[in-house]
Amino acid sequence: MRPQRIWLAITADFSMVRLAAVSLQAILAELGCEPGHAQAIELCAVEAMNNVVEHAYAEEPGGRLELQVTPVGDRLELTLRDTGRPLPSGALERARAGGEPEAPELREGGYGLDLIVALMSDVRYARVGETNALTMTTSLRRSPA
Amino acid sequence: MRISRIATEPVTTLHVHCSRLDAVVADDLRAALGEAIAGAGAGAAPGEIVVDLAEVQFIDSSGLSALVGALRSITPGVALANVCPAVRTVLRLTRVDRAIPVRG
Repeated sequence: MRPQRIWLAITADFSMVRLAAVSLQAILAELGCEPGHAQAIELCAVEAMNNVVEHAYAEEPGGRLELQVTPVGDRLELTLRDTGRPLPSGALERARAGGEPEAPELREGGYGLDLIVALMSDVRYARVGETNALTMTTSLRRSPA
Repeated sequence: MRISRIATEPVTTLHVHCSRLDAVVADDLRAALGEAIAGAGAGAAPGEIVVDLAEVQFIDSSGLSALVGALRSITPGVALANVCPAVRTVLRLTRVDRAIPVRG
């Protein structure tokens, strides 16, 4: 059986990202995702979408981004696609490596990928032709009935 | 973005009246906090500002950057209060809570 999917396509704009996030909240609630975990999933989706708005489409405001939501059993896969600039080489690996655990952190930015890597069980990036695809996977953690 | 200020000597509490600190409001948050801090600074000694996040249910890295940007000039000397679990998680994962104390 082919996986059932939901696609949310928006103009790359922060206010549209907020609408997509609210939509995702509703989808996760309907899928029975435990509320605390749903918040973490929403945060990761927002961080990924914000990165597209701010970086991938920095020179092309108003580009299209598409969030694909695929629930498969107890797993959830989110894939974000855009046709903006590629993710800088090594960015994901640096996020996975993390920073010095004992150093007090008070950076003003650059937290987005760190949060995604910390909260998702798997994060992968691929560029196929002119399309970026960031895939984040986690459990659905459905609330008990 | 509305931030109200309550001074109960020696502490000045800044209440952030917004449920979602994200990229949409980040610039406004930074500006509003900056104004509120400047207003609280008149006559207040260092180490006496508490930012109350009781109404905040969501913060992303944009909101966090704005918060850190506005507060870094007065750290140490500021604390965050009434932080919900989702916000606390973000503060912990980014290690911001190691530089800015979180109470309650």
